Amino acid sequence: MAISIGLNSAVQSLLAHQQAMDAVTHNIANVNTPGYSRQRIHLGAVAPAGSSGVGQGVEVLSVERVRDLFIDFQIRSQSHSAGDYSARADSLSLVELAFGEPSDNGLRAVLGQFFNAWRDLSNAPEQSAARSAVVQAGETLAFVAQRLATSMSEIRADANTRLEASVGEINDLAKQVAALNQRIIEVRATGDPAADLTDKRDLALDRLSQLTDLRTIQHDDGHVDVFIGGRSLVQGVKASEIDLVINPLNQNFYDVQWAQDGAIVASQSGEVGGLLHQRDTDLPARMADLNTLVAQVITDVNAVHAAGFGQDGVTTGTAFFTGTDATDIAINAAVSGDLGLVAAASAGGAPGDGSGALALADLQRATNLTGGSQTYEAYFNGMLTRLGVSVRDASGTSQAQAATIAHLDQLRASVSGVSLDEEMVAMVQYQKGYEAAAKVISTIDDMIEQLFAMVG
Amino acid sequence: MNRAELTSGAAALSDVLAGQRDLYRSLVGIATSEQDAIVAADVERLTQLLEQKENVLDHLRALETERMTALVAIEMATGVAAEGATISEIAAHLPVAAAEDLQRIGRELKAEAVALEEAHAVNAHLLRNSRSLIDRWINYLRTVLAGSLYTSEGDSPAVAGGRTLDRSA
Repeated sequence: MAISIGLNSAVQSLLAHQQAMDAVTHNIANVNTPGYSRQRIHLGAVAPAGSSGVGQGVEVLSVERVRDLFIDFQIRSQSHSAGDYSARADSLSLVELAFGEPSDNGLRAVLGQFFNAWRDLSNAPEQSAARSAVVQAGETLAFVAQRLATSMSEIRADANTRLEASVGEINDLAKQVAALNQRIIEVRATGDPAADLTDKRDLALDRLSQLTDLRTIQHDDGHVDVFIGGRSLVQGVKASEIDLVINPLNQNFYDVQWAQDGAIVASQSGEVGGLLHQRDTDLPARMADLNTLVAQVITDVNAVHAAGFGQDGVTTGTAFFTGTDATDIAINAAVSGDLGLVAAASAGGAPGDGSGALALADLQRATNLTGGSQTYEAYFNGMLTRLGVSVRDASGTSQAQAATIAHLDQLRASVSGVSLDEEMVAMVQYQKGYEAAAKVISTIDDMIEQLFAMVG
Repeated sequence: MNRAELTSGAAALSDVLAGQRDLYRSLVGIATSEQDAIVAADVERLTQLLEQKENVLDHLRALETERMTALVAIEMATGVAAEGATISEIAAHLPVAAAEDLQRIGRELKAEAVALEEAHAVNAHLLRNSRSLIDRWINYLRTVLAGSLYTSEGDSPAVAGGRTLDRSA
């Protein structure tokens, strides 16, 4: 008879329930643990012994880690894109900040002030104050251009330095994942699902996916292989190392290489991809824009100035600027040391002539850039517009990616997160069910007592 | 003694007891399933089984009325008081064949009642333990939800409103 199930199996069953309750405790204890996945116990009846057909109680069949792998995949694929754009937005915002436009001290303003000083000089070519103002305005222009070039170099260097931290973190995380793979394989071999270890590994993979564009392959024994650009960063219990190697051909910036054979790590996205893109593509392009503008100013000003004559009406052929672009533009030391060398006249022997200075002032309206179609200011405005669009795109995309990830995180929390309310509701349902069952048993037992009195 | 009334009453009593035996047998089956539901913490199944039990109980109550009617008829015929009458007392007034038949059904009924009582003893034990466990957990959860529990970092797992997981989005 089935009733012969003894208290022994009842005790075994209660132990199984105790395990289920332990899972609840574990869930509650980890309610605020980042990356924790709710665990659920699956109970099942123990097969009948022999031919009696009598059940032997209940046992814990498995511990399920409540997790949606599709959401994990989506979060990771959005994360490296977010890391990429976030790194770009950071650097480009710094460039925008360096330009500081619009302002009275920005490159556009000092360029305007420089040509205005020449215009003033054309009205009073004999006045040393006006000559001094031209030199002063030239020095300010050179200073601002060089400061911008230096800032952009520093931002590039900063992107290069930030690679150290990011690559170091990738190596640490890869070692963590490999070590966790090892422990997960061992623990799963004992029949335990290694839920907490898998949570830890997922957390490491989440962070890795922000740093670089990785791909993962899950294996039946529980381990995960991680790939970057088709090469394995983690294979089973082994982690490959990534090195930063100084490249003399690229301004001594780092190359990101596989330590094993020196091959370049093909990280197209993530923070590392974003930093590399900034350092090697975006920032050099901004720098080239600035250099194009400043080089054109140097060339044009020097050409007109060299054609003019100094205050003595004799000296000619003097360059106003030295240098070739924004990185080294400076006032010709000879001119700053002798204001008389400022070529305000366009003809020799005419000390009161200001037409040379006027010709220089008129360069402001000359369309010498972009194939003869743009003035300095128009070119500069275009530069700023391109920069602004890039910053807006990078920031906007970064924010949109962050919002998507936040939404996916919420989705993941709704699947894997611990809800104390839900645990409470389940417990109250158990309580009510058991209470009702006990009442009915008591009622029937009373009837049995009466029955025994008659059949006794 | 009214022989016809006794025979009719005894036959009716045998039928009632046979009906009760069958119902108790089904209760034993339900009790077995109930045991499985308790150990599997399958409250939904437990609730379904309780409904089945309630239906069987309704039938048993109806049969109890019929049993008293039969006992009253037997009392009229034999003078054995309906209240507290035992099968042995009644059988003593019956012809041998009818007496044996009544006592056989009585034994079968008793066996089912004993089996049911044993099943209930185990189930009641399981329910008490399960209840005790659940009560402890409910008290614990209430403490957590009330926000009076602190982690080693000094945080309370319960946030404002007692909702740990924000599902508002």
